[in-house]
Amino acid sequence: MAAILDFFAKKQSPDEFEALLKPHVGHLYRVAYRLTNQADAAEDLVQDLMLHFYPKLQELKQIENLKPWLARSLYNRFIDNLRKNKRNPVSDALEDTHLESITDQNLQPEHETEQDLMQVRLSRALDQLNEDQRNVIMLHDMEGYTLTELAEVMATPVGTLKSRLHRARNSVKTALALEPSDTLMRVKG
Amino acid sequence: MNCKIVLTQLDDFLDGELKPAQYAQVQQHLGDCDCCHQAWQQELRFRQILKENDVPAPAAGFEDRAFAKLPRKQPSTHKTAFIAGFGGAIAAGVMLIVAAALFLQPVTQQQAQNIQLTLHQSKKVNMVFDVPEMVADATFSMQVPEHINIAGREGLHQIEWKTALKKGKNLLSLPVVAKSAESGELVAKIKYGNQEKVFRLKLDIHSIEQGMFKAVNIEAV
Repeated sequence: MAAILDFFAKKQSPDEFEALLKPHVGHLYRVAYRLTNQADAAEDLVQDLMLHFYPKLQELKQIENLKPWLARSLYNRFIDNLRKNKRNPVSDALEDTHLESITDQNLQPEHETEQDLMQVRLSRALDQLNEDQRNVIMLHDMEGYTLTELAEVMATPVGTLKSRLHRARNSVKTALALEPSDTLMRVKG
Repeated sequence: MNCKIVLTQLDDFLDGELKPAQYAQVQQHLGDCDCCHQAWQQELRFRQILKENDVPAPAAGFEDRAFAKLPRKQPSTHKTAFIAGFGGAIAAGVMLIVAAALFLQPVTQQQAQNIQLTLHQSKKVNMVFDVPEMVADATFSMQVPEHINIAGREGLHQIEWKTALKKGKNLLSLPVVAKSAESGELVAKIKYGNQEKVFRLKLDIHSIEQGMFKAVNIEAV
């Protein structure tokens, strides 16, 4: 088996595969990190994705906009892995983060600036969101995906994503002691 | 446009989800209303906090590691694509065909064992090419019948690649799946310089219901 795979690899030009995918791996890593919250797991996810697509170079070349398409594949593999393994890496990661947060009551000197403190609080706030809300706020507000792109990535209608995003933002704002826009509206209304 | 509508549309305004006319109306209101302007500024601050939550950079060399699991990146002690230590691979296969004395020597013997191919079931065909000395620049080509698929490479029926053959035995392992129970022929061709050898595998496929197998033969032409 390995021998014939090597033959195909030569036939389909691995350099061409890398040339096509390499510009995307940095971004894929960011998305993978957002999903897994762990550097090693993010690397593994991207590596697995490359391995999966390696025999499919010709199909990849036909895709007009690879960025959301690859992100969707990555997202699907992440979800599949969660289901297969039963063991939830996100939960594990969150448990670790939570432990870190608890033990981090006396913040280290490097966390003493206002900006660092805010980021610590933000991480805690994100941990409190459910997975759907966390994914949409991270991929939209932090990674810059549009709602239309995310609708494709997450196979979810734009309207649903908007609602999740709205709820996620308001939860995070509340946790950060910033006023949700809804509150302002109620005050003014 | 009143404050209530503007605040309702503030997210869409910042997300670029408003139509140009609506966008212009909200923008104008934000310029006129201090309270909504303040809400907008607060929303901008919130978005900035989110953006500042950056992903730690991957460890050095990540871009290379991302492709490290690809088959071509696997370490090999020989530049040929053939497996150098092929004993395990042969054991895993269902068929071993020895094509003796490729090039430079007349073909003296072809050995073939029966292959048991079952319809719709993937089986690995191993072909071993035994050469008396290294062939640095050989061209392999393979013609696979339309009703036979190479597992994982469905629809690929014409294959050609350049490779080197090391002195001694070289293994080509081919996982195949038959889509219909009809006879066919798999043709492997090797070119080196102005020499060429053609090997033909005659395939007869059976369905599980038939309960019988036919031999697959290889012969040099």
